[in-house]
Amino acid sequence: MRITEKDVLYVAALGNLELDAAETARFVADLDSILSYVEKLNELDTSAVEPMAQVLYDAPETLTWRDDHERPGFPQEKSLANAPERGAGQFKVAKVIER
Amino acid sequence: MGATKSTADILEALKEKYEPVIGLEVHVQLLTRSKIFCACSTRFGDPPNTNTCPVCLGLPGALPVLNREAVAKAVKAALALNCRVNRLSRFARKNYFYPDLPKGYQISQFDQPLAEHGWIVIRTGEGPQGGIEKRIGITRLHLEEDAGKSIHDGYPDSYEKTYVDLNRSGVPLAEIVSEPDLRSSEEAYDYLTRLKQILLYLGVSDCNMEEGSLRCDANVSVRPRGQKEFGVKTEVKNLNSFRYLQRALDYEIGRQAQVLDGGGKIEQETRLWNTQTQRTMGMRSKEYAHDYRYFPEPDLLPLVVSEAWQEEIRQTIPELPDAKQRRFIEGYGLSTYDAEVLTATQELAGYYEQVAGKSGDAKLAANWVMVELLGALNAAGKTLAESPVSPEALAGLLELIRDGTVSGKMAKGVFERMFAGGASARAVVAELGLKQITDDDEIRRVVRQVIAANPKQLDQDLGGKKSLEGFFVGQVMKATRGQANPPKVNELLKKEVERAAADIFFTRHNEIHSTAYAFVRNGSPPEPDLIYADKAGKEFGVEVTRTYLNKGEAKFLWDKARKKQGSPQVWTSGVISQPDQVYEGTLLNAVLAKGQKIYSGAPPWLIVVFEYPLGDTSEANMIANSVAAKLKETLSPFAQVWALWQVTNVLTAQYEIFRLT
Ligand SMILES: [Zn+2]
Repeated sequence: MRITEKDVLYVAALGNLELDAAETARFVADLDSILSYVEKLNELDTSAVEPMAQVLYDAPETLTWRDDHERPGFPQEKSLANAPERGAGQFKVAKVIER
Repeated sequence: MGATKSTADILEALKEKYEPVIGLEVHVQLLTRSKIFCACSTRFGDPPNTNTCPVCLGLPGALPVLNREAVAKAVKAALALNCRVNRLSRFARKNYFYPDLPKGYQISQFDQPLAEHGWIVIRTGEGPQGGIEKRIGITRLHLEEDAGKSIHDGYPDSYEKTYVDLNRSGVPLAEIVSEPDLRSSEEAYDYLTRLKQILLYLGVSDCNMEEGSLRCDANVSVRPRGQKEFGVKTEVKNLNSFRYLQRALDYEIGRQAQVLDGGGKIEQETRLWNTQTQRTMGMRSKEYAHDYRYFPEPDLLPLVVSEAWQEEIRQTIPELPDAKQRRFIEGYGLSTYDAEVLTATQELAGYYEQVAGKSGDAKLAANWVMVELLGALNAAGKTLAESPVSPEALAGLLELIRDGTVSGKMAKGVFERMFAGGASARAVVAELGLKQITDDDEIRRVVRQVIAANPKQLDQDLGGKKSLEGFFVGQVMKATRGQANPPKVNELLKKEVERAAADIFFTRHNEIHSTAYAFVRNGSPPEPDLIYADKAGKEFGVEVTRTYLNKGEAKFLWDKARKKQGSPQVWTSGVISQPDQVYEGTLLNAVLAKGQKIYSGAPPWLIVVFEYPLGDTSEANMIANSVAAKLKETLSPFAQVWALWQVTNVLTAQYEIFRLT
C-alpha cells in the first residue's frame, strides 16, 4: 500500500471534497492501484529524456503568441448566462470566508 | 519595579534589541490593451463582467494564447531591474479555490520564471548627501494572470453573499519578489518607492495603487541583532497603500519582537493588515491550505525570449532615475537633494529640463520648479500635466528676472497670476503695469521726494539715530508700489541723504558767509559725489562723509544732547561719559580716512556729517578747533574741510557748521 487514508483526505480537502468513510476507503484502494500501475513505467530508464509538460513542436514564434489587440468581450448577459445566481451585473456566491 | 513605560518606549527598546528582516512581493499590472491570455480589454472601471470571454471566464475547452506585449513589458522591467532574463521560462498552474478564480487555478510561473537575480539601488535615510545607497536584491520577476474581483460589502445581501466581477480576471501581472534585504519599514518604503519610480519611467505599468495596478505583500521576520539565521516569517497581505505599508510593517515588527521577547514563538502564517484596526491579524488557515500543487501549464508552450528580442527591448529602455539624477548633478550643478526631487517623475524631469534650457539658468530654474511650481500645484491639488504654467511660460518669467525687468519678489506675484490665469509672464507684467524700476533718475526722483517729505526723519538720521534707513527704503518701495529695484534704492538713498546733508550745509554756509553756492548735479566717479557752483557758475566738487555710531552709543548721545538721563556706556574707544576726546578722535579719523581717496579735477570740499549731537555750540567749537589744529599738520586733497553738526534742542534740529581746514 502506497496511498494512505491520510493522503486521500488531504487531497480531498484541497479539492474541497467531502468524503464519507466508505468513499475514503474506496479512493485509497483506487488511487493505490492507479499509482501502482503507473509505477510500471519506472522500469524504463528515462534519465536521458526531458520531462514533457507540453507538446513541443517546431513552429515560428508568432504561432505561440498573439499581438496586443483587444476584441469586445461577451455582453454582460452572456457572461452571466451560466451563473446560478446573479445581481448588479455580477456573479453571486455564498459569502466567502478567507481561509 | 520602576515607573511604567509607555508602549512607544517599549517598542523603541525592542527595536534596539531585534532586527527586522523584510522581503517584498510586488504585483504590478502590465500596461497592455488586452488581457494576458485572451483579447478582452483591460480597461478599468467598465461595467462588471463586460470584458470577459470563454478564456477568462474559465469555460471548459477555452485555450489561452499569450499576449506578446505583456511579455515585452515584463522583459523590459526585468532588464531595467538588472535581472537575468531566462531564454526559456515556463507557465505553471497554481491551484486553489476561490470564487474570483473561475478555472480553479491561476496561470503563473513557478520553477522556471521569466527572470532572476536582479537588484536595484535605494537611497535610504536622511543626510546632506540624500542618505546612504543600498543595493536590494531582486530574486525573480515572473508573469501571471490576475484573478477577478470579489466584493464582500455594499449590497443588501452582502452579509450572506459575495459578488464577483471577472473583468480583472486574466489581466497581465508581473510579480517582483525581492530578497530579504530590507532591514526596516523605512527601507521597505524606499524600495517600493524606487521600484514604482523605475516602472513608471519604463512605462510598463501605471502603478496606480487605488486601481489595484500596484499591490504589495511582505514577508516579515525579526531576529536578535547580531544573529545570523533568519527568524520565522509571517506573510503580511493587503499593504495596498504607501501610507499603510510602513505602519503595517512597524506593527508586525513590534508584534513579533514582543512575542519573542516574552519567550514566545512566531507562527508561520499569513496575516492581513486591517486598516480599520491598524493591526495585522492572522487569517484562519488550515495548515495545508498553501499546497498549491503547481504543475506545468499544458496549454501553453514554454516561453522563449531570444537574445535578439531581449536586445531589441533593451534599446527601448529610457534613461532611468539614477542616471538622470547623476546627469542633473553633473550637468546642471544641482545638489543631490534637488536632483532627486526633480527626477521623481519623468514628466517633472522633462519639465525642468525645458525650463532650464529655455531660461538659461539651471539653478534658478530648479528653485522655481521645486518651490513655486510644485508648491502651487500641490496647493491647487493639480498634477504637473494640469499645470496652467507651461515650461515655456515659466522660462519666460525667469528671463524677466534675469534681465532685471522684475525682481524675484515681484516675480512670485507674477507667477501667481500666471498660475491662476494661464497668461504669459510678459502679459501679466504688462497688465499689472509691473515693471521693476531700475532707472536711476526715476528712483532718485522718488528718493528725493521721500527725503523732502520727511525732514524730521532726516534730522534723526543725520543726528545718529539708527534704523531710519529702513524707514526711507520702506517709503520709497511704497511710493513705487514695490517696483523699485531694492539694491538701487539703497545705493541712491545713501547718496541722496548725503546730498540732503550737503544742501543743509550750504544753506547754512550761504547764510553765514553770504555766498550763493548751489547744487548743480551728481558727480560721476572719479568725480566727487556732488558738484556745486558759485554765483558765477564756477563748479566745484563736494564730498560728503558720515560718521557712524552703534545703536547704544547713538541712543546715549541722542539722549544726552537732549539732557535726558542716560548711564555712561563703554564703547570701543573709551567711556562716553567724557566724550570730548573721543569726539575729536572720531572726527579726525573721518577726515583722514576720506583723504586717502584720489579725486579728479580741482580739489573738492569735504563735509563731515558728525552724528554726535551736542547741546552746546561752544563745546563743539572747542572740539572743531582742536581737530583743525591737528589737520594743519597733514596733507589733504581737499580744498576745504567742514563739519556739519547738529546742535539740538529738544524740539527741532539745528545744524551748525565748523571749518576744519
Ligand atoms: Zn477574455
